Amino acid sequence: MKRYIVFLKQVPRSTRVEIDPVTKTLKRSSALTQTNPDDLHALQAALDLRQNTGAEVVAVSMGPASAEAVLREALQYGADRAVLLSSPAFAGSDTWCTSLVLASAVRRIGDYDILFFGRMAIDGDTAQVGPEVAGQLDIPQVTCLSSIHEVKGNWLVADKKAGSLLQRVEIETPCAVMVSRENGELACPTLSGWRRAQRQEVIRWDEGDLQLDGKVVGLYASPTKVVSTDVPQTAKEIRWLSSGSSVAEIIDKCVDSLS
Amino acid sequence: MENRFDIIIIGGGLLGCATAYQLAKRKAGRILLLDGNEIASQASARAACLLTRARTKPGLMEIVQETYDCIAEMEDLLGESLELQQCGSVTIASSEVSLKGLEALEEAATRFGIPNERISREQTRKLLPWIDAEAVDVALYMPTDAFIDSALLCSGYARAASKLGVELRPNCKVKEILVENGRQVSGVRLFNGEVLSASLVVNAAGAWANLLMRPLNVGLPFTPVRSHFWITAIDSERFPAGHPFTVIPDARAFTRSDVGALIIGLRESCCQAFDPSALTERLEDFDFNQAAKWTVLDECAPLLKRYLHDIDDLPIAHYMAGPSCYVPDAMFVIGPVKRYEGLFTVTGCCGGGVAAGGGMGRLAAEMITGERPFVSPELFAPERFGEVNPFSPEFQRRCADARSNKKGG
Amino acid sequence: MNNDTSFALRVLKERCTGCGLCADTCAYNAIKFADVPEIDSYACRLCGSCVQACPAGALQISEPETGKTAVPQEETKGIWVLAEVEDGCLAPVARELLGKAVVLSEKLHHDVEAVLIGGNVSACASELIAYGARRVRIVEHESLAAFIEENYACELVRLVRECRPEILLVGATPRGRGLSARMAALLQTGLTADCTELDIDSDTGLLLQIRPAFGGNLMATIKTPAHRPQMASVRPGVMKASEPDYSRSGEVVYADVSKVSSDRRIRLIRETVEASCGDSLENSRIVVGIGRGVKSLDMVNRIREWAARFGAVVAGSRAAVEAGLIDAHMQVGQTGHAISPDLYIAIGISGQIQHTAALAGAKKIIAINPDRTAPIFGIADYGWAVSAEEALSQLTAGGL
Repeated sequence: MKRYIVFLKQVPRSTRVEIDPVTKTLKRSSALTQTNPDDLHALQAALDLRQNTGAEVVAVSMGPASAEAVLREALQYGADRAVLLSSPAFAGSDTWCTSLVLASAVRRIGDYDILFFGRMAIDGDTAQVGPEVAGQLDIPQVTCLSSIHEVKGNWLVADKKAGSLLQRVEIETPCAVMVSRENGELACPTLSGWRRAQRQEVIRWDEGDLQLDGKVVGLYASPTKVVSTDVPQTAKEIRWLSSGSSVAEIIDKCVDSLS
Repeated sequence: MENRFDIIIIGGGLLGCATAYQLAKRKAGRILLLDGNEIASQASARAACLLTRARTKPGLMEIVQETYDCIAEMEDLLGESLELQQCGSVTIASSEVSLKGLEALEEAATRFGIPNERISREQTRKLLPWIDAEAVDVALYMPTDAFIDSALLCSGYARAASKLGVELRPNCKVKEILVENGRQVSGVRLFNGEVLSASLVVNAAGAWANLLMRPLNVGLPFTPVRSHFWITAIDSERFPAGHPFTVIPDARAFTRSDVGALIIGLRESCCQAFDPSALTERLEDFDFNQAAKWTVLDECAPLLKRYLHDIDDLPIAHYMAGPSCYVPDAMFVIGPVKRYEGLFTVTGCCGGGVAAGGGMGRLAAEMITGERPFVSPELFAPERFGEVNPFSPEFQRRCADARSNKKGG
Repeated sequence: MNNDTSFALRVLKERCTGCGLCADTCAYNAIKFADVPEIDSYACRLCGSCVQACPAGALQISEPETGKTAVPQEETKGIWVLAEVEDGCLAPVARELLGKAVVLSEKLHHDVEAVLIGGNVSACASELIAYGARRVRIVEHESLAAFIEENYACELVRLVRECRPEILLVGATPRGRGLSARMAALLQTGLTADCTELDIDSDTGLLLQIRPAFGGNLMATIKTPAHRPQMASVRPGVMKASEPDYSRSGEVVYADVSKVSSDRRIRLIRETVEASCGDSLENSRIVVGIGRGVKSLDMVNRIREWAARFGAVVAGSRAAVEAGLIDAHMQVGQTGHAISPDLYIAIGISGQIQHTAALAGAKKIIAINPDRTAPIFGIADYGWAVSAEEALSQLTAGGL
């Protein structure tokens, strides 16, 4: 049987954080979380493809215990199994260490055909983790998926974007695809899906289950180190326009930068 | 003299804006309205927006009628439509208890001159293409009922008030209400330190109102209680835009059309109150308990199933929760706070701010300007429960029960 | 899991003044505050915000006890810029990166080098030299004619391993992003995406990679102390290219391409030039939103015609949907779509929270509304206080 693995991240509902005007420190405005939007589209792509191939869909998240909510949501949408990768040893992992943990989970799950990632997380905006996992596992990647055409045996036929070009490629599985909000609409969840998800188990793995030395992941092992964070000086201020031609100028500039 | 006003209203939600409008109409002096966020951005932007005319409680039909009158007046004043959608309503009974309620509503409507008729299953099916009409014993149709976008209505009150001279200051958070000599209200202090003076302050801060009253040792008899609704995915054939809203007491539910989708309001058997001190500055940041989206739907679905057989498999596109300020007797809180000179309140919407806002504002304005009130103010007196502590869990429970025991949707 | 002594973030109880700032600061809800902070090590991401926030120095992220920050053993040299070529032309970001690389080289005293990869790219070498490259390395082979990330990554990694650059800068373009991430994984080094500023730390000589964090509210400074090359990507338009000097001389080095082979796991079937903007709400880079201030279907049609000129999609607020001006599927708002275009143009939209909540991802917003106090201006970058009619007559009169 084919197996698809989908990666989902729990992110803050709002990436808006306020800066305390006196202490100049970060003030959390909300503790609300959500599933990263692109990741839900990755899940949708896997579920859509499952309809034709009958594959098993495994949802994986790395994060604190509360990230179980993300996996319950994935189960509600129709994932078959869910695995939470959670351990204090993972804290402070940069994208390289994160992809190492995820790649280890992929190896442990085994026998996979396609890895589905959301293109980027709204709280990090790096768009790195998917391609890095593909690199760590040395499998081909579809960095910017436009659409999946069909699955022919061990080959996935897909359209991918590469800058201004649209490429139709045949790519051998196992492989990784990166999906974004541009890849269409999500199906809406249902109550019966929720009820089913409540009965399913969420498996939890830590570094031991992944046969990882705790010293190769997390803050210390991460190649990149955040050395400081600062409040940017300029506050956003509105600029008033007085004519249609200034609007046209802004549009022109935007169109130029896109092309 | 820039910071001296005759009246300061705290809260740019439906009740604050409606009060500002009604006061301005009465030329009550120099009026300032403050809100910590944008006008019409908090609970008033999360309402289900039903303007149900027929009511069995005393005074309420007059109050709702005043809202309808306000809408017409403001459309004239502003020269634009506030998009009142006169879709009609259908109240549904499928049990003895709910039939009694329906009969009382029918009697009240007829007495007040609100058009109403009982309709057949066939007609019900026609008006509500989604309903499983076999489950409907009696259906009462009121063709003149309407709904309105609550944020639009709220900003309508605000813009009308502004046109009549009220100064609006959004994004100005009030830190405290100031009192002189332990008795006379003298104005407010903002979080930025600025002092604005007025000898009359109206606390219309909704879910946050008791936080402002706390330092004054005043407890208003309500607490925020979670209300919520669900919106299905769009299915314009099944849920045509502008079809009548429904009230289904046997399912603790209401529905209304929402541009091709169906809004479903449900009330859990045990409603959830919130301690006002737990509120965040903006509701976008407040945790209404996200799990409730499904746990409450799960609890209520069996009741709704008779009318909407596929509720279990209906795609749910959105969920919206907000705080309704519930009072133990499910009546509003309008009038002077006796302990102080010049302190008024208009709060305790009990989930009826959209339908009742205009009338609540009118009653408050009449009491402030010393006119003869158009409905009996005793029903809404802030002190009618004696001293209460809105920060105590027991009192919050009483308020939540008021919602749990509500008759309608 | 609370105040676990083996965890990197530690609380020095004796210093804590109980102010609670740390708990307020934590974006991950990982600090519970009783008398002293309790760290939930499962929720903590060791982002360091609390350490910075604490006025008493009561929180510390401790360095590992063993294996002090290793310094790379092998000697490295060169500040490299991966120069992207599309349709035979140098991508503008390559010139911008060179401008920055030259500035960095003044502090670090490493040569600036550019790397070209593709089927037929050597023609771009002279331009790279004019923009500041001392040396251009060319990886040219017919099997690299098509942009296949796996092939490009494989060859570039081979070259990097051989030459060991100190720094590698990449454009954060649709191509550069996926390619650089794959390379970082293969090279086992760090990569900082979307830097808005780059500098050299005068003490350590390390590359300081500065990028927005927490939705742009903060700027994080990041280093890659022990792994090489130090990789960073920069979005187009962020850095400034210097003036080209075609009299400059530079060296051109052709890489050994005898081992180039294409990855057999990928077969390119065809390549087409994609239309620049899609027609759906989510993939449209420019969106025009209309609200109640747009009074008639006739105006909507004129807005559509205008928007089509620059490939924008027309969407609407809930009020516009209710008024029948726009299809319900094109609603932007809490009960519709959340969108993140590069440019959003709001016409006749007042900006109720219902609507603006769905615009958090928009990069630039132009708001057009006659009421200067309308809340939409609170989130807009540009405001134009005129009616929709007036705006439309001016906009459609112009060339655009």
